Amino acid sequence: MGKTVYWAVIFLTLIVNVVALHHTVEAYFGREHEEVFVYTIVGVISSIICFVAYLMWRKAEYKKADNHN
Amino acid sequence: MTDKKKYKRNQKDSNDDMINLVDNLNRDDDVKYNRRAFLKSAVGASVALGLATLPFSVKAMLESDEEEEAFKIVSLDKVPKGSSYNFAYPTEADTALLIHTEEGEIKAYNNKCTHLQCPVFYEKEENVLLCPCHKGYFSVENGHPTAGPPQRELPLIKTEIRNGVVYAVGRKVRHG
Repeated sequence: MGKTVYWAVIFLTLIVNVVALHHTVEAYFGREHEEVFVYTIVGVISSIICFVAYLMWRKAEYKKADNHN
Repeated sequence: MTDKKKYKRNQKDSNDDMINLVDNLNRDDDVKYNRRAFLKSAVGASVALGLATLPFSVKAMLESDEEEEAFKIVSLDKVPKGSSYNFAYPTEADTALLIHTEEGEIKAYNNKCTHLQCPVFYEKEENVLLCPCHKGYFSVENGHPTAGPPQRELPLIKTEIRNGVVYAVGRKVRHG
């Protein structure tokens, strides 16, 4: 995968996490506990995806350039 | 870079006009605030936001463990049709209203107005719930606001009738 894809994934997860946190807070104060759990699962999975994408991006970004002597 | 001695105008912190034109380009900032740093910040923000949902789940889990027992409100014969009865559920601080409608239905809601927490009353003539503070109206049927400033519904208290006694068996803050 290209580095652009990692950028896209990271920003996509950022959007998902903002929305998930918003819904979690709303559900918590609305005492809809089942929905709180659902959005937490979404948020945590999205965070993991984001972190994995970051690690992969880092690997690609800091890879030593091929030596063309 | 060459080892050639720099002219005074090219030295660091020179006051030369031509040098000051590019004062906003700071090498330290270039190293610190760049594309990679931006992406790393985005990752940090994303992970932090995602994990910020966890404490809400933990708290919700702890609150879910507290099982709600059936709470005796009042005998049905003490609340004739077209009248209401005040009680508190689930805690003493959560005042509530039991309504026995003209049609014979039993409805119960927490009666703090969702606008500014004023008490809500049952208006028998119009068959509505009224908050007199700012003229907020709620439907008796579902507790949703019908007129005035309130935007959210009144929390619904689930009721059961056993042997002529009305019990509160649960509460739903968001409904319908």
